[in-house]
This record gives sequence, C-alpha cells and structure tokens, in this order.
Amino acid sequence: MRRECGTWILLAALGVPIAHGQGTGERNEAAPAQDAEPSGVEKITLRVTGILAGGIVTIDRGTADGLREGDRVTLRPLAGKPRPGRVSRVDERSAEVRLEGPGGVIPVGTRGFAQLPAERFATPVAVGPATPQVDETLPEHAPWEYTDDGFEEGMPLLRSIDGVRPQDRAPIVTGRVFSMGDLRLTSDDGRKDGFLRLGTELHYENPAERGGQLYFIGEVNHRMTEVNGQVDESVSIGRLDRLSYSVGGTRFEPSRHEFGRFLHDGVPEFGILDGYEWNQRLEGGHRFGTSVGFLPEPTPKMSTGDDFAVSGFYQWASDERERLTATGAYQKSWHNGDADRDLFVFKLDYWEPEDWDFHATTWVDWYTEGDVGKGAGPELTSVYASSTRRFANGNGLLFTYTHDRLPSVDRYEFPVLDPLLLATERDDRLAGDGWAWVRNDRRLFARSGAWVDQEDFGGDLELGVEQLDVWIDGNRTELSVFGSRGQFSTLLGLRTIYGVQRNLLHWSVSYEYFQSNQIGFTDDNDDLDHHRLLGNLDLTRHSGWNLSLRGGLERWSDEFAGVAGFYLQRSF
Amino acid sequence: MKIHIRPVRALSYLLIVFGILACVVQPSVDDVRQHRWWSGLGPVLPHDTFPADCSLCHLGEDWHELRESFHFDHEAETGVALLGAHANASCLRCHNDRGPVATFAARGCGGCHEDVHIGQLGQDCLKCHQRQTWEPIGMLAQHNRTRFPLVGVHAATACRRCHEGAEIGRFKPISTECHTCHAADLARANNPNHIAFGWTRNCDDCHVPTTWTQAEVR
Repeated sequence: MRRECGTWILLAALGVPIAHGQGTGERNEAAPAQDAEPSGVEKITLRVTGILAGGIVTIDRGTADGLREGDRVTLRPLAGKPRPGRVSRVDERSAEVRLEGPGGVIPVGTRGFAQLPAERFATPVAVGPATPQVDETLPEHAPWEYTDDGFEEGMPLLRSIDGVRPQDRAPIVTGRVFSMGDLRLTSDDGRKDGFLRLGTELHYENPAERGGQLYFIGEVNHRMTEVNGQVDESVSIGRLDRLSYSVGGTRFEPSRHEFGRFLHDGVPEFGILDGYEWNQRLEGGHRFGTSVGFLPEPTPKMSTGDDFAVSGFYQWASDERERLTATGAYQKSWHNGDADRDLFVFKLDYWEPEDWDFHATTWVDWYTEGDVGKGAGPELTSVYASSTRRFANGNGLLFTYTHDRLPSVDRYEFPVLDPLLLATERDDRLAGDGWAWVRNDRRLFARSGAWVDQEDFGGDLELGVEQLDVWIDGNRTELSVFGSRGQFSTLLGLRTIYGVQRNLLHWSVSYEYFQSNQIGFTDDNDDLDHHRLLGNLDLTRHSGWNLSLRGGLERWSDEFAGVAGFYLQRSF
Repeated sequence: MKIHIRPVRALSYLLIVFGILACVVQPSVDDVRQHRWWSGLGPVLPHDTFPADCSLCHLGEDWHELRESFHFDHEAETGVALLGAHANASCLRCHNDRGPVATFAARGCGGCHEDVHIGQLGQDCLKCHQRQTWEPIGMLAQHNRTRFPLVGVHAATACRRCHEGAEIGRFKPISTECHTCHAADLARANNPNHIAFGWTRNCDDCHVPTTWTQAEVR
C-alpha cells in the first residue's frame, strides 16, 4: 500500500493524469479487480497483525492508507464466516478494529478488506515534471567499497537486497542433547534386553566468520542382554558419528570442502568417511567432486583405519533448480592394504513437486576372479527405485522396486556368510501403495507388494480406512486388514490405531491381531495367535524440550513380552 | 572395550549427565524464542507480501531483532505448513546461505536432511519416522511386508540384535537364513547334536519361533 501511494505521488509529480481506479491493480495483489468495486469506492486489503483484549485486533493499515476512525472492516478467517468490525483507533500505518457480532478467535495473519470513499485517495496533481535540483558545490564522493552481489549497471536501485557476507555476521551455535532408553522383557526364562543412550549434536555456524560449519555428533550408550539369568551381552560404547568442518557450498561459494568424520555430501551412498571431500558446483547446477579417506565400519563402534577409499562423482542437472539430475560415481576401496571393492553408483532423480517424482539408485560391484562367491565382471548389487504420483485432490500412488544381493567384500559389513549363500542370495520386491480421499475426513488406502528370492516368492496386501475427527477434532482413527506370505510364515490379521494430535501433544494407541502359520509344518502347533498393544505419548515444549514415552505388550502362544521406552531431548 | 555396568546404575548416571548437559546448554529466554532472527544472514526471507510497517515485527534500528510477540503463520502466508519439529525451528535453519529454499524443499526431506540410510531405504522418511522427534514408528507393521515377517519372539527383539548397523541407520545387507543370526545357537545345540547330524539348514522344518530357549518340535 505504501508503495502504491508512492506510485500515485510519483505519477502526480510527473504530470500523468490520474483517472479513477488507475493503478489500483498494484495496490495489493490479493485485491479483487477494480472493476468489481462500486463507483466512488476504493477497496483496500489488510491483514490482522495482533490481538488485543476486549475483542479488538490490530491491522496493518492506517491513515496513510486512507483509513479513518469509524470505517467498516471485514475480516476473512480461513475457517469460519467473514467477521465485521469497525476501526476504533487509527495511526499512520496501523489501526485498531473492534470486532462485531459473534465469532471465534481471529488469528494473526487473517486477511480482510475495507471499502473506503474514493475521494480520500484524490491526491493533488502537480503540474509539469519535477526538475531535479543539483547542488554543484557538493564534494565528489569517494568510490564505494562495498560490492553488491550481482548488481549491474541499469538495475533499479530498489531491487531486492542480498544477504550479508559471512565476515559481516556473527557465529551461532545450535544443537540438541538427548537421552533414550528401551527395556524389553520376554516371559521365557526372563529374557531381558536393555539399551540406554546419551548423546549430543552441536552445530557451530560461521566459526571465525569464514562461513564454515563445524559439526559434532556423538553419544555414549550401554546395552545389556540377559538370557536365562546369564549375561549374554553387556557393553558400553562411546561413538563419534560426526566431527567435521565444512566450508563453501553456498550461494557465495560454489566450491565446498569438508574434512573430519562425516557422511559423503556428494554421494551419500558411499557412506561415512574419515577424510576429506571436495565438491564443485558449476554453471547450470552441475556438480562434481572427489573424496579420500578411511571408511568406518558400519557397526555400533564405527571402528576405522582398516578400509581406505577414494571416490569421485559427476552430477548433471537440467537446470539450477535441479528438477532432473543424473549422477555417476565410483568408489575404490582397500582393506588392510589389499584391493577390495570397486563400487559404481548411478542415480536418476526427477522432481515435479506438485505432480510426481521419480528416483532410482543403483549400486554395481565390479568383481575380479579373487572375489569370493562371485564371478569376474559387473554385478547389480542393489537397486532402489520409486515413483510417486500425486493428484490435486490429495490422492496418490507410490510404486517401489528394490533389488538386493549380498556383496562380496573383505571389509566388515555383515556376518560372514558361506560362499554358496553369497553367490545365490537375492531378493527382488515390487510394491504399489495407493490412497484416496473419499470424503474430506475419510481416506482409503491399499498397500501391496510381491517379492521373489533365490528359492521362493511371496507378497503382501493391506487394505484400510483412515477417519479423521471421529469424536473430537484433531484425532485420527485407522482400521486395516492385512495378509502376508513371507519366506517362513504366512500372516493374516487386522490393525486399528487411534491417535490424537494437538499442537504440542500427540498420543496414540494401536492394537493388532494376526494369526501366523509356519510354511512347511503339517501339524497344528505352528499356528500362533498374536496380540499386540502399543501406545505412545509425545510432548513438546516451545522451549526446546521433547519427551516421548512408549510401551507395548505382545502375546503369542503361551508367551508374552513387554517393551517400554523413553526419549528425552533438549534442543537449543 | 567391554565394561560390565549395572543397568539401573547406568541409567542413573545417564540421567544425571543428561540433566547437567541440558542445564548447562540451556540458553537465556531471549535465545529460545521460536523465531529467532540472526542478524548476520540479512534479509534472505522473502518479504514481498509482508505488511508495510516493518515495526510490526522488527525492533531496533537495524531491524535485526524480532518483537517478542512476533508470530508468523507459515501455512496461511505461504501455503506451506511447518509440521512436526519444523514448527519450532528458527526461520534461518531453512532460509539461509545455501540458496533458494524452494529448491531444497521440493526435494523432500533429503533436500535439507542427510540420509543416514545412504539411499538404501528410499526417499519417504515418514514411512518409518514421526515428525517431531524423528523416532521410528510402525516398524513391526513395515517389517511384516518383507519376506521375513516378525513372528513370535522375533517381534519382541531389538532391531540391533539382527541388524548390527541399526544404531547408525544401516539395515542392509542381511540374509534371512536362520544361521546368519543363530550360528551360536546352532553350535550350542547338543541335545541332539545338530551339527553332527548335519542339521545346519532348514531349521523351520522342526522349529517354530515361540521361545528363545525351547523349540517347538513337530
């Protein structure tokens, strides 16, 4: 509005004849077309900026916008009917409006409008163009030292302002501290399993005012398992998940460097690295990069030093928005000095946020004669491909395909397997999920899948309905039936979930029953009736505290199990 | 490093340390305001549609500080709802030096958050995580869609007992063959001696997963 007034004054100063309604389309983009207004009336849009006591709200318009005490105002909350009001006090650029009639709370941000007499906007017209007065006695200004990002001759001075350079801004620290624990008990011989964690995550932005990022993520934890009264496992571990410093990779600096312990930035599929990575962004959004360092083992201790790796990648992007990207990458690793893995990763990503997306990542290992359980040459180790189609009414479809084989690597990644299994194990899965809103508060969903491995095949199907606001607003009820044929067993069951979501509180309970039957058994003692009752409670405070509690009971055959856990977090 | 610690004592220690850390790092009330403004980054947020009067939101001469009463309904103003923990995040966690936030937001969670699962579990994080604390939810139901539904005692077992890398987000690769996880149990099975009889595969021909210690034998 202020800009609009300025436009009018400028037009007047330039001697442009101002007809009624001219330029009102710029007054506010949300305002309806001027033609729709009655003759002699100007409509201004406004917004609620605050709530005062006594049914009074403040708005962002004042006398400068033509508003006067006593003017009628109509507010349009997103939920509910339009709410009338009358201006009770007015300043130059804000005003107070006393609401009239019944209605709920008007939230800050609510839009509205006022229809004002057109004569309030009749600005006196100046005759003839203004002649700039130049004081020739002014001394010449020294050259400007500040470089405005991207500014070129000919650009308007009132262009958008760019951000401040790292050296001109202060450092800041954010992060969290968390603690969590789980305890599981099963009835047979009092098996216990416990897990306690205490960790922290710190993010120091712009240290030394060089625009860098310093990260620390680490934790200590203790795990304990007792079987039949005997300690099966009791171990405490201190783990460093991340300790790294990165610089660049921003709008100011297309080159990015990171060293320390961190997850690969260019190609996360290469895992965590103890070393150095460099990426470079090119014109048009393309990127390339390389890394060198040790690969920590993917185990709770994350031991390092045995596996050395180098890698490189190139990412092609259709444009700077990166709607379509294709990536090719290669990683070579050595285990205790001996050549180990030749891993190729290929990725294709397409994003059309309002419509659909497609992602595919493939891992290809190139084996040599010496690799256990594999022949020389390339082998498709893994594929994860998915595509989501979203419709305007909230309905959607999701298709997923996965392919997994066990890689032959010297590096420790999983329990050692015999060569036969390494040579033959494979798993392919195709899944399709769909959901459709049949009413504003009711959604139907279906999930299905089929798998095939080196010996067998199977699949799963789940059909359900989700109902919102059953008894009270903000709750959610879900009911579904499901069946699954696995490698060793079949399932048939149903599940129901009831959950309540409030601003800072969320809780839910669920019950699941299914009957499982072990494939291959001919006797009846393989039929297990499962009952599962789960509950969880999440509390959040604006001050940064989170508390989650959860518990569950499980019963099958003549046995039962219980699980309880907590999660406490303080963000800062 | 193997240390035997009593669980109750360990829990006590952990809670004490957590309490100390939480108190030590607790910032002043000013610092925990929901929409903290960091003067250094400049106006990287689009202000085009904001009210004309800057003082409605900003304090001070340089406009770097926000009023205590400042509130911004992100969904109403931008059409993008801030769900879960995003609702309490400071504006500049997303609107910052990296570039236009819409480009990153269009790429889903992975546009801003690291994928600790290194691409092995797909792009749909909310299939397994809840928004507020990012804790996993509904994992048993998810697992029942695989070729290894969790039946009997398997459903009451911690993920890390089978997926050794679960704590750091690594769930693959793993084989579904029984001896992958139960090799030690096989070695201990002496009544009768399974290995001597050559019973090292197809455990499910004789066992059902009802208990840990005593198999149901047909």
